[in-house]
Amino acid sequence: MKKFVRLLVVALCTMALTITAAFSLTACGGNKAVKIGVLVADASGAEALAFRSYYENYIEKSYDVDFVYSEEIGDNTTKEMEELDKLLAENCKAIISFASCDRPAQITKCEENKVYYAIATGTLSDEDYATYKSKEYFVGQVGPSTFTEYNVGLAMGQYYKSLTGDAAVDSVALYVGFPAPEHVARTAGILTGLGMTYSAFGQSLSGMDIVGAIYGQDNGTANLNNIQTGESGITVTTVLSMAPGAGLDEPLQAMLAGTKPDALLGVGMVSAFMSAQLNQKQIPYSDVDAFTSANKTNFESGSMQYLAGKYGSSVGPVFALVMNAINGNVIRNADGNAVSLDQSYMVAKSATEYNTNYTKESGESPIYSKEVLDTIIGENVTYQQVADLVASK
Amino acid sequence: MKQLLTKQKAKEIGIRSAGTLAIPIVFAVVLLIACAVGGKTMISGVSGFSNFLIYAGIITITTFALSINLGSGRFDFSLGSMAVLSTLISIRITSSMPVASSTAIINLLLCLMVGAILGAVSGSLYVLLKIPPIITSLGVTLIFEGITYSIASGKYINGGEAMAIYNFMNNNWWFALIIIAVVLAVMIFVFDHTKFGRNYTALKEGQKVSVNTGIKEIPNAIVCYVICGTLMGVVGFLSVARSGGLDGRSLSFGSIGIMFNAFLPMFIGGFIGRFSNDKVGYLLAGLSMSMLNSTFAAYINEVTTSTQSIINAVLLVVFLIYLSNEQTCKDLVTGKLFKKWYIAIKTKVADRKARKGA
Amino acid sequence: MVNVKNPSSEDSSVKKYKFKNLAITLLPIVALAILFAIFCVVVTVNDYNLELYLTNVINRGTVLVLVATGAIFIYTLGSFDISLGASTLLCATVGVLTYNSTQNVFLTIFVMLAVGVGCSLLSSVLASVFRIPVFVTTVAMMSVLSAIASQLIISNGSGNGLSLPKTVFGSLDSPWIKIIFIAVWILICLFIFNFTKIGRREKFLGANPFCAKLTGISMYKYAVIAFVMAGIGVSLGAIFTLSYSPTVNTGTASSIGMDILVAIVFGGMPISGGPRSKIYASLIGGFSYVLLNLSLNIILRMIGVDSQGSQGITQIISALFFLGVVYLASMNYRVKNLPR
Repeated sequence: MKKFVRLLVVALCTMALTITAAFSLTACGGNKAVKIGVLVADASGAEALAFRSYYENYIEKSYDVDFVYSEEIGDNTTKEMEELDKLLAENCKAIISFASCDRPAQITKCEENKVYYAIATGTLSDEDYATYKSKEYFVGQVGPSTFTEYNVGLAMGQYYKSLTGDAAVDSVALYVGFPAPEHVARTAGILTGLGMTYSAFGQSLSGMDIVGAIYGQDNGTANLNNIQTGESGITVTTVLSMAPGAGLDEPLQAMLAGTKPDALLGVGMVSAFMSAQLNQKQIPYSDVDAFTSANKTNFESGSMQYLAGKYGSSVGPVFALVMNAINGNVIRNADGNAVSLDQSYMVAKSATEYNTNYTKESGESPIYSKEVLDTIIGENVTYQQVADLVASK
Repeated sequence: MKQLLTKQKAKEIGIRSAGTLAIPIVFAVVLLIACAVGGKTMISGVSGFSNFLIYAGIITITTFALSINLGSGRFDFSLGSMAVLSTLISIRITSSMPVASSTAIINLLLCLMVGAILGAVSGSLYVLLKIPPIITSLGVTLIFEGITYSIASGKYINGGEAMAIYNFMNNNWWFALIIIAVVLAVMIFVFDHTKFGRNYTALKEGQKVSVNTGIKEIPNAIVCYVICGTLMGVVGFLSVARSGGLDGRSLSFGSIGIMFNAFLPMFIGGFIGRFSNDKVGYLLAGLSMSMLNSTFAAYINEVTTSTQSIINAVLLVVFLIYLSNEQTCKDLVTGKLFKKWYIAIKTKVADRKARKGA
Repeated sequence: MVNVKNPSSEDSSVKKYKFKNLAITLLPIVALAILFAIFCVVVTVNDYNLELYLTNVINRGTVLVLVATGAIFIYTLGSFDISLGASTLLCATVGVLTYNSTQNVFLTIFVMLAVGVGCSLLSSVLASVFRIPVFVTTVAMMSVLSAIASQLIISNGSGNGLSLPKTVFGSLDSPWIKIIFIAVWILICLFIFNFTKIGRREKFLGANPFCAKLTGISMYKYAVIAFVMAGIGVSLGAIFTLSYSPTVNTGTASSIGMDILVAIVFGGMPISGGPRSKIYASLIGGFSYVLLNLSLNIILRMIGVDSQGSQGITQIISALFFLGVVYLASMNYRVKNLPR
């Protein structure tokens, strides 16, 4: 036993020394590219993978930068802070955040550590933006605002309401996802777009008011009993929510087995959770996702009918803002505050439209290619140039 | 005399039947009333029935697996991770195979095989390391979850082979019934009618005595783990059949939730088993839990997932309170409890008076 | 011929046994020291900021160590509680709601303590009064507490969780304050555990409940004390969770319940409790677990495994390491039959 313990200690110490030596060599030979930390809430979704591929396979090759990704954070504020701390300890010069558990805390931490910070998905609430917009190291935010998210749902709802003839819909099913802010905003948009109202607190509400009603009254998940059919006559037959294994399976089976709705309108994750089932049953469906090869198949040989999606390089402008800041050009808006640009989704309503949008973006020539980004990366780039470019795409 | 015996036998059969069927019947009646009140249907159509059977299968077979080792004092956290990993490996193998049809059955067979191997790995580690099974299972869970995450790249897997399983099972509802029946028959045969089963029971009741009488504990334990792994392979297969996908994102004990669903049916099944056979009890408990699940699904707009968790947990606690205090509960119903309390208080008062007098 | 034992060989076997015991006792501490050395080396050679990384280690370990130290009282009895993560979440949630509606820090702390101890006591009462197996009680409690917390967060939050102003507990978010709190809490627990009859009797109950009962020790009383201590640990954990990240959401403290099990065993304490239980196991095990995970994460990324892939592999290697440490630590306590 004595021998064994000795051996163990010696082995562990040798291992430590070997690691030290090996890594010393690695560190000596390592490159000195600018490190940018990327904080990710979801690391495996189609959208997240598209963004990551753009950064790691295109931007890293085009610029002298090194993206350091966090572990998947999920819905855990403590882990978000731990991963941010880790990126800061690894000497990242800037942080691009795709995690939204506690953005004010992220900004404060980056400010304390004098590291540039930018938001790449979603935006801060108006109240939070007003509080943090003047922070020195807060570079800005480029992504869909809550209102844009609402409008994405609204456009989807209006599209289905406008269908006529054989394509007209009389009944729809909704997939309202989780009680996440963007999901609730899109749900409110869809209901309003379909001409429906939501019954809450003794009132019939519409528009953005539905967001407050869903949170305040129904714990973040729209309730079928409170959805009121409007003049269009379109009815909601089923409201699906949550994930497989956690409340989605039985209602989905019941919907698939019962009278088929004319369409299923989804606020996100439809292609991940139920596209195979919907394609098979030939139920037309919509989703808010990304322009990926899987969705190309869903459009071409499945029953996907409508997609509001992002593309991998849509995170290009936020990288440009961060790169400028690292190089000493911290771009500010006209009021001298952090940049806040609203970014909308690309929409496809047919396989042809999908393919047109899909081919705009490819691994080697993305929409925000090096040539395009170079127009907004530089010492003399102004806010207006960035804003104009984002608005043009 | 013969007539008296027949009467006694009939009475015994009556009590056994009533005891066996009471809980499922109470569940069915209460839940059907609950559905009728809200104008809902608990199970609608063939697809609903198929889903009901699949969920009943998942719960029943997980309960079998949980009870095998737990009954012997071996706590196993790795059940959920074995279910996910065996199915993932099976799906990966069949995806690369040039098989066009019947892949669901091939997947089931592969799930069984891979599950058995995973069970053997888990059991061998326990036997070799000779550390408490709960600790071994913590390590094994982390290892299996890590492998799953690495193979699946931390993604939710939908479509492809998972969809083939889903389609097959939803178009052939009887297959779930066959799986449940076969598993039940095999479990009853293996544990109640073989030497292994008798040794298992002996080791369960008295480890030291059994080992001293010559029963080989190590092979018995490994076989138990292999059976658990095989059963969890079936559970993994049925879980994919239920949702059409597989979650490869569980890390840091994210997979142990599968096991927790089996606690209530295990205790209910154990109670039913007093009147018939514990395996039959687990099946009836699994069917009861599936009825509850279908009712929750019918009330999806009224009962949130949080509320469902609370209802399940409260049912578990209430049932355990009953099980652990059965005599007290019976006395409460018959009024004997109040009589006991009355006598106890009376005695105390009398004692006090006597002491004061002294 | 009478076989006479050689006194010197007897002496050497006693020495050998003592050395074995000492080696096994020291093994977790040695493992922690080696892990710390490896961690410092990999951070330094990568040119990372060691000070910030060490702060990160303390941040990651604080809540785990605080909750695990309290939980050792339960584990010593041979019971275990996997609902502590859910209790921490509920405690933090109620704390945020209390502060947001009263703006009173002292009331918030009082309510958090009450909720932490209350949740723990409820488990204890269910287990002791109604004689339900402790583990099953805590499984049920885990479901109930996390479901209640989720309901509270979703219905009172803005979608991103429930937030508390950083200023409320922000002053506690400093590595030195965390170290002081951990030290004080461990010293208090150490005193109760090693220098009062509570600790001695709990160890006795953990080793042989039947015998302990026959000597007049009340299992009920000591179970309540153990759960109260765990409840205080949970409340402290919740306060430090809020000091580090003042927004609570459904994933907060989600893995604490199981991490405690791993940390305690890593620290050299048997899961079955009894006389070999040690308060400092939580400290050694908690920080060993954190250091191991962080070191592996850095090493794997250095050899080209990306952060997403490294998560799975890190977990596999740390599990193997965990099993190895437990195997070595239990070498002196082998029994003939398979352990249960």
